[in-house]
Amino acid sequence: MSVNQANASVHDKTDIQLSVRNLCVDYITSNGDVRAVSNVSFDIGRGEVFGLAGESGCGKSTVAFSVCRLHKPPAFISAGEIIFNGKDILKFDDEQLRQYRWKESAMVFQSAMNSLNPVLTLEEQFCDVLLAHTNMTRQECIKRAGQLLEVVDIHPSRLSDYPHQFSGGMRQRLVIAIALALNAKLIIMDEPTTALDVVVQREILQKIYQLKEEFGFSILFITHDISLMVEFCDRIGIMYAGELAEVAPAKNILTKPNHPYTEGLGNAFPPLHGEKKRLVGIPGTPLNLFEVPVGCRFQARCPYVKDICRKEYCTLTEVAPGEFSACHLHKDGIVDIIALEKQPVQG
Amino acid sequence: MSNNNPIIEVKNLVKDFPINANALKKNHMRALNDVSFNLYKGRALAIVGESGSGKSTSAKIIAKMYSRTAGMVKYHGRDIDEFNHKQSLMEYRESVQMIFQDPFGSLNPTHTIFHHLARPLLLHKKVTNKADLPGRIYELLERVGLTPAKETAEKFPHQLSGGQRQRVNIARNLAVEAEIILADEPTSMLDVSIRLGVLNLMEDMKNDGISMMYITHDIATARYLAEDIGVMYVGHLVEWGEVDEVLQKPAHPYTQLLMSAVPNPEKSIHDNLEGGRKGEIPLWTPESVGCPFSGRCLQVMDKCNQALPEPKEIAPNHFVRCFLHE
Repeated sequence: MSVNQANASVHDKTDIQLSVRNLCVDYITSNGDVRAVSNVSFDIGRGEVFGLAGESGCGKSTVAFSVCRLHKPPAFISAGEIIFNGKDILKFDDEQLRQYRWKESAMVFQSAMNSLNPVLTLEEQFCDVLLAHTNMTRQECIKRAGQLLEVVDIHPSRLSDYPHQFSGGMRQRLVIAIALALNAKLIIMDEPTTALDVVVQREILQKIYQLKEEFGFSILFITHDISLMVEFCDRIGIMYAGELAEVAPAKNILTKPNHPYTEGLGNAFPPLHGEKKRLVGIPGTPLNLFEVPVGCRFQARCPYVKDICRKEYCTLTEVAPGEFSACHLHKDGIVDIIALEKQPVQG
Repeated sequence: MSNNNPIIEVKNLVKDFPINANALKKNHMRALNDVSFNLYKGRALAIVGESGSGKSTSAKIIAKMYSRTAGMVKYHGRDIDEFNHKQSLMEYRESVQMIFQDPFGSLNPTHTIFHHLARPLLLHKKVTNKADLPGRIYELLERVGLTPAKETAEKFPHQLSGGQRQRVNIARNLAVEAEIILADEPTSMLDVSIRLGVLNLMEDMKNDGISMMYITHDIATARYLAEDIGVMYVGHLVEWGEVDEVLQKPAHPYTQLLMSAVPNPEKSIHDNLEGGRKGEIPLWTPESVGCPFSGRCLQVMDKCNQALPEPKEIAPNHFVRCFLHE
């Protein structure tokens, strides 16, 4: 495996908020080590929304946890660099890490119901964060908490309420408000709206976007819903079996996929308009990481598989300006995958 | 819908659940209010709506898991309350089967897949000679795409993936030769690439003549699988009819809101929501009056707060419950 991959970057050096370089995360299990994330590299610019998509178990949440260094054994980061504002956070000691978390990069987890403490009022939960990271007095903290609630359209008088008194969508907004408390420069959102209804989901994402424009933070957005991601993100990385299969601008990912897996994912979502036809999705099942084959990890499910795919590993390379793909089909210039569909190459 | 007689006919269904009950006073919430729909042979009806809108409650009443407060449910013209003795109840349950959301919780972890399929076959006397059992089970497993069937039959649920477990659940429904399948979010816990396989299998069953009710919050898959769609909001069926007719020409403001909120790669996150504004979802009680959507509707009128609009057929097989279409 080469470590000299393309960086999947389209930014000037000065404009980069977060740079992940050749990140590898291993899990130690009784059946041997599993590499859950393998050689993942990408950049997020200032004020950019970068999305990571893929099926469950593809490593997208593992990447998000790495960026906050939240991994606990049996998971550990075995190689790579995570550079935030020019500093490698993997080299931080405990105190630096404490300063970094929440103040520099904050995280919104999937289930808002579990992220709030059910036996504390909101006021306590806001003050907890603010008192730990700033020199504010309690009175100032309460005032700041009130402002934060207004930011997410919840009346400040509800600070004395408990989490169960709010609806699911409101709780999700509360978690976002707490993540914003210290003006973090990067917000990591791991499936922030998956448990919510579509109407509430859209309201929350519009609010997040508006806040991003106002405060200028970057977002690492993780979901399995590609349609939603295309609407919300600037650039998208598609992960398969712990690796980045493709990185491209959001608008291109469905219309001009550069990797057969991306194409398959796009075909797995039935359309809302037009002719109804039978879709096939992606045959087979996701790769078991204990049985990583030689060559491309997608070979067993790929409709265009060739001999080379079973022999040689393909690194992420730039196939067009700003578009990166880890597919042999693209090694000698861009191949139009949609056109290939009519005559699949049998390996 | 169809000229055939409906297999299941649901008319003016009402369901109340007690809330905050104490010794002195019993409060109720109305989970379903005046809901009517039919299920036909070889057709699928998708029910969409947000969580808590009564989608699952209506399926569970048809499956006789809940009793109803008022209204009528008929199976081949017979009131389902008539199926209340051991023999007739068994026959009803044989015809009406459910698929649940959680494929991990719906199989017994201590038994093999063989056992899961053998039990319904023996209980419902689909196989009387035990020697025929393995053959029939392998046939069922092959039909739902679980091959090699012999090896799958020997496995325990934890050795299967979510998609494979959901296929076992479908095989169980096929084992008793179900006439109606009530699928309650069968694919929402499955991965994108696995989901389509299960949906295609359900579509094949539908084409084989099974009548299906598909409960989901995913409008795109509802359109993919179903011929008819019903949109629910706070216990009310607000709009229903042929799936493309309803989705392309949504007439109820809530359907319009829902359609504008569905993730669509051709749109932008900045596009405004149509038809409604944000607001609290009301708690519906037997005393509530008016249209449940009136608090969020952009075109609300005085009468919307005074009475519930009656269903109106605005186009062939397209019904809506809204005063804007009176």
